[in-house]
Amino acid sequence: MEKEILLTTPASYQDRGGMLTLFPKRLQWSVQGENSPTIDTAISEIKNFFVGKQNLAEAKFRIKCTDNNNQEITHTFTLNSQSAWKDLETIKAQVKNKGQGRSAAPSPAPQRSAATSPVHYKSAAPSPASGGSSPAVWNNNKNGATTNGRNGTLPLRKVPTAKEISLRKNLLMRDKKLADQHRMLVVEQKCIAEEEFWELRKNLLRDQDTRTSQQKGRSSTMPNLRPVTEEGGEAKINITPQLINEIFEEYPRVKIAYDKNVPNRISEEAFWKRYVHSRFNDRNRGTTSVANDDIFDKCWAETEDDLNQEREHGRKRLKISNLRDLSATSEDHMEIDFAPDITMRAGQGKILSLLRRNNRHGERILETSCEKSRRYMEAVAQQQKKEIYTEDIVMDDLIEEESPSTYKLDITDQREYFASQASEIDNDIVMVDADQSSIKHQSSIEVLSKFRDSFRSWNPNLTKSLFPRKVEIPIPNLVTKECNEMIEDKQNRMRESKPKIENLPQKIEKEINVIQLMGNEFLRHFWASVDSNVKEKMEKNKRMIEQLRSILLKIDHISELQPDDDNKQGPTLPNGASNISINTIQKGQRLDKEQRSVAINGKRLKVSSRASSGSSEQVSGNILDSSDSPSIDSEWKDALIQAQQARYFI
Amino acid sequence: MRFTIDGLPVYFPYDKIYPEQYAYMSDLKKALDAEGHCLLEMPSGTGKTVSLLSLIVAYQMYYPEKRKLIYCSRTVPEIEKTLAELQILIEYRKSHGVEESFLGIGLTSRKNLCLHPTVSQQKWGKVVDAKCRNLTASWVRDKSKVDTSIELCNFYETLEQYDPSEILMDGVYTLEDLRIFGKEKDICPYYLARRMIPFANVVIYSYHYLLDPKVAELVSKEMSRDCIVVFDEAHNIDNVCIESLSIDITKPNLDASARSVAKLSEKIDEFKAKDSARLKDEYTKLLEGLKAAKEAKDEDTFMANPVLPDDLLTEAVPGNIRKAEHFVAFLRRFIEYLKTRMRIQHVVAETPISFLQHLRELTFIEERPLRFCSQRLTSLIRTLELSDLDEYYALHKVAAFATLVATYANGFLLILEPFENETVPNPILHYACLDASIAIKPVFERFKTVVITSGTLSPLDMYPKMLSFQTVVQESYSMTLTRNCFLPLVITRGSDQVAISSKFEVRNDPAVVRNFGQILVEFSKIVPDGIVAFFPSYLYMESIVAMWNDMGILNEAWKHKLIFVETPDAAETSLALENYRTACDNGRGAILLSVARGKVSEGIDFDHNYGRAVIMFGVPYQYTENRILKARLEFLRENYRIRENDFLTFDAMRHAAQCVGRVLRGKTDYGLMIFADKRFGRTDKRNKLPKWINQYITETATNLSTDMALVIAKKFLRSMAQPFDDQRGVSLWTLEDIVAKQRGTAHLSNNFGGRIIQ
Repeated sequence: MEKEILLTTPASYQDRGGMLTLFPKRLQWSVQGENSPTIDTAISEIKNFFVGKQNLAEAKFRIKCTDNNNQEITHTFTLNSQSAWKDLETIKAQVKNKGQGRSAAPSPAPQRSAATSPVHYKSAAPSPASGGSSPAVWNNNKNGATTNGRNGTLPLRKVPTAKEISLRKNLLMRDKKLADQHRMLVVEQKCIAEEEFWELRKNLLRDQDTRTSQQKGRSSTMPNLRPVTEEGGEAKINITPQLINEIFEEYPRVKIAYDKNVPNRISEEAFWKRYVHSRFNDRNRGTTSVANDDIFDKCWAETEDDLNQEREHGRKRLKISNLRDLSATSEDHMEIDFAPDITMRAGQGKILSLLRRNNRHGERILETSCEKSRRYMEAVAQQQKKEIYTEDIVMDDLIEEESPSTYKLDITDQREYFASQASEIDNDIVMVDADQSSIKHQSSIEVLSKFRDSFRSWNPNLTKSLFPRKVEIPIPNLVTKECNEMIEDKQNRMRESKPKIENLPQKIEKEINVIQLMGNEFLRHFWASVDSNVKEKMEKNKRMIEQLRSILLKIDHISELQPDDDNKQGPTLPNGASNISINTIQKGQRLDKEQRSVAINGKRLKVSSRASSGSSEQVSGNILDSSDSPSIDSEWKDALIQAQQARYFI
Repeated sequence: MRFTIDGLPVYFPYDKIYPEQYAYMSDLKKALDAEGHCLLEMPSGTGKTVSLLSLIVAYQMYYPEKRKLIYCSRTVPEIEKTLAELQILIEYRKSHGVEESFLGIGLTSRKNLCLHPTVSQQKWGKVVDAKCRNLTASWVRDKSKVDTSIELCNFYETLEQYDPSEILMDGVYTLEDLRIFGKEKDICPYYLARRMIPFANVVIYSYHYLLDPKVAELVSKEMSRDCIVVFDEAHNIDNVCIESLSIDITKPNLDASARSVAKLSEKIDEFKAKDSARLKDEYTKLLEGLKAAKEAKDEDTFMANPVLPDDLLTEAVPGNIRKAEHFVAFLRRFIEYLKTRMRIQHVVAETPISFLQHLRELTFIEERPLRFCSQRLTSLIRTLELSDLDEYYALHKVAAFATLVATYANGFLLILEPFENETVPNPILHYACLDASIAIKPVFERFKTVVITSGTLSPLDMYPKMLSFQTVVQESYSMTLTRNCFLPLVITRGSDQVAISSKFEVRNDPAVVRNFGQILVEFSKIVPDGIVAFFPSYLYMESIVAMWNDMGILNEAWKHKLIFVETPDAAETSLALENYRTACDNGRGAILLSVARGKVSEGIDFDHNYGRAVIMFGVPYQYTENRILKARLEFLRENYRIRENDFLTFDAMRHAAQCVGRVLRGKTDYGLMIFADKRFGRTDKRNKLPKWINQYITETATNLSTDMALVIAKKFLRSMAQPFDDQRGVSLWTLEDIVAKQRGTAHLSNNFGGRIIQ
């Protein structure tokens, strides 16, 4: 737990006395006399922070945050100490800093006396706050995504924050396969620790985080005050600061009127009351019975005028393509003296400003949402001397497309592939280059010897990169191809004759699944820690080797299990399946033993699993530093070949 | 690819070709060979322009006559696009080793081309024209030789120093290129283009430059007989013909004319005092006839004669208007007469003959001097060396009216409407041309081959009737499709089963309006990116949008997409259009509300993501209470045996088809075409749609409610979004397919252009 306490102050929550404690990154409240906090929230979780009116006796504030179930809850605290307002400033400052940077809390300038007006942090926030009557609002939403993203990349500490826990929870809830794994490995088998499990899946957490913290853009609807009918049948209109903001943006004249009238002539409440009854409110547009209102009538008329006069507006800013410049046509021949009939004469009456309001509103939304890209486009347009029409003219259908020079993926089971892509991201699939094979049955020994021959005569020039981008070393390439063909062939045969996993006795099947899962997991951890110099990791590495060994034992154990189990016409054990995994695991071990003599730079691990076809796994190093690899034994070579191969799959 | 059609080598700037493009080119070649006119309807978005250009350029270059191509389009963006396509074609030919010199240019108004720092800033084209003339008229330039303080246009002066044949290298110049070229060389692009016309192989401009006598006189008079004339997007050509010979005169016009006349007489007095020789000189010239006047340079011409060249009088100007002061008095009298006519409080419709008779009785103005009115005014203005001619615009309008009314007795009608909307007093005197064939007749007579082509010309026999000409080839091509890439749906009722229609009686019924709104909202939920909605008229769109606003339907639609609306201001609409496209590009999605006969419906494409659905709210009938339309309908019935209803439906359906046709470009594109009106379900309406649309309307899709349509549309959109290739052989041909087709051996033997895969 975090030690540093920034502030402790008596505060009441729901009319109960207690202590409020502010840590650099957390805010806790506990009932008087109790140790464990009743409310405990990470500061970065706080979405909104409302400070009560300054002129009241009690210093109140309200936070809105998400709890562990990702639901929004609101807490209201009342500070009871003498220096309540000062404390509140400290809390506010810390919340504003989003719990970042420890130094931020004590030193900031919240020394402002309580008499000054509340600060509003949102730059575009309504200025009426000057009246001191509206609550200050700080909206964390906008920046939420970026901060959270940053949190995600921080190294995981031993104790996960509440946020992390909730992230994990949500992720597990969303991803069933992952949940199964988690249950199996962490909960049931207890073979790895919770933290270790997540350590390797940081990317998933990060994804989940981005996914949940992504904010919706501004709604494109026009700001509208809609009454909410409450229980008693009373209609109530809620005007939030955001809504006020939107209204001011939409109707600058209302803002002017507000600034002119509000504190001095009428109260804010009266202002909005009259607004609701004015023509600005959508509900009153259709009716003619709008009460006369000097402020808003004038305002409305001015807004209409603005709309009708600024029709040229934006023309300078936005270059209109020659291919869509309608005014060019209307100025092309002026000799037509022929007025269209009345139904085609546009812009009669007040409708025009309605049409224009729509256009303006749309434009404004586009401006706020894609300001950057628009500016970029304009810069590009300015740079080029001349507009380029090709995009609008050339018919793509009629152009012969060059077939892109890519490898075709031979996905053995497409349905499974796409399904698994959709549901989970983590389990890789064996992808094999599907070039036509010429050599069908060649023993691996043959291929290997060929490869060895080719490597013997190969003189590494280490000043150059090992493999040029487009592989030009013919022989290894050929060998790779042969390997591919062999593997493909093997797979095909396996597919034809493989023992259906569904036919296995349930017990064995389950056992195999568990072992495969565990084996995979250990291999992951093994590879993740294989060349680390950190002490912990080295230890972990050793532990993993032990674990892998035990898996091997288990595999053997299964073979023993098999014969006596049931009388079903015995599917001869997933030999093909387990063999491969045994191989790889053994290899992994051997590698481990040799790793100090042979430097391995690459550590990319590709584990492939396919539930339906038992399991087949390939270990693939990425780039092998062959500077000191003269004494490669044949086992090693095997791995090397696979590594080579894998390079092409990737 | 390069292939031959009947021995003519054609370079086509793509690797593949649609079968209908090939068929189109073959038929076009036949028409060119036969030196006759043709009428070709080609589905929208199947590359009509490029086929046309490829074939005609090949034809021009292959035969020694080098027949010039005059290509007329309806809007400036389309002109620009065509020029750009021509550019690509010529580059392609060059890259394939064709050695040729070729010049292609486009022409538009001064307003669109002017480079002069102050003149080009003027907002209105008319003012730009007048200001330009102030700087370039011959007498201004003469004077400046004496008095150096007189401002001239540098761009024009530089142009004058060149010999016209030397300036432009060969190549194709888009309007933008022309401006850039002008800027680089300090040459006026407008006059450059005008002077290049005789040297150009291809000239591209809008219809009016050929059809409207006031412009054609200046621009197109030197075109030779063997030119190939193409009217692209010509489905509306009859209206252009009619517009170019019609004039509306309003009360303010008359007042302005009266002021101009007063100014003229002042000027004449001035001139008399200091330079009476000039006036005398003019008098003798007029006595000799109009030959002298014809020699005047076009820079000096105020505005050409509004009547067609054949009807132009070449005799001497009658004596009573030969003297300047007499002519001014004559004009004054005529304007006074028109003013008195405007005071009448009821609608009058009369033939030109009866108008002239009444005029004669009251004012003793004869027909003959009236016919010379326009020419005489032009001559006077030239003699007086007047500047700022935009001020004389109204007077010229009156003079043009005088000339027209005295020249044409048949096919025209004068209608005086004292009230606007039946209540507001705003008298307008319409001089309405009812016969579209009058304006286009000289074109058909003068040029050997006139090609009329568009995506929507159905029913094909309507045009030869209305425009009185004969075709050698008349063809409508269907669309060959490997997959049905567009889906026409006729929605006849809302989800609540209330029939929807823009029929006058129910159009403002809240239930109908709500159902229309429901269609918009529901489709905005399921259609990705852009939706374009068209309304029959501005008036109707405005009233519906207002009602939607009150009903909260607009706000509902705002939740799903941004909404942009066409407004009367062209610049404003362009901006809205640009924003609409941005919203479609960035995934926000947008709805564009526009009008079926408006600016947006003509020539703006909504291909790919810019239009995944086009909704036609109501049948875009013309306003039938319009008196001019009524007169025209009567005229069509009596003279061409076209029934009123047939014409109205034909007119509505061609515009509807034009609107929905905007949705496609190419066959990998896809889109929904939604006809939301009960009346679209009737066969007599649907039969007037182009064949290529009509053949894909299934029987089930002719009577849908909103919810049913949504189900079908959803399925369609989902299936269309799947990757798709391999149209080869059926709706896409390679060179081998063409060769095979020409041999007649392959499986494609007798079904090109008409093959439909359902």
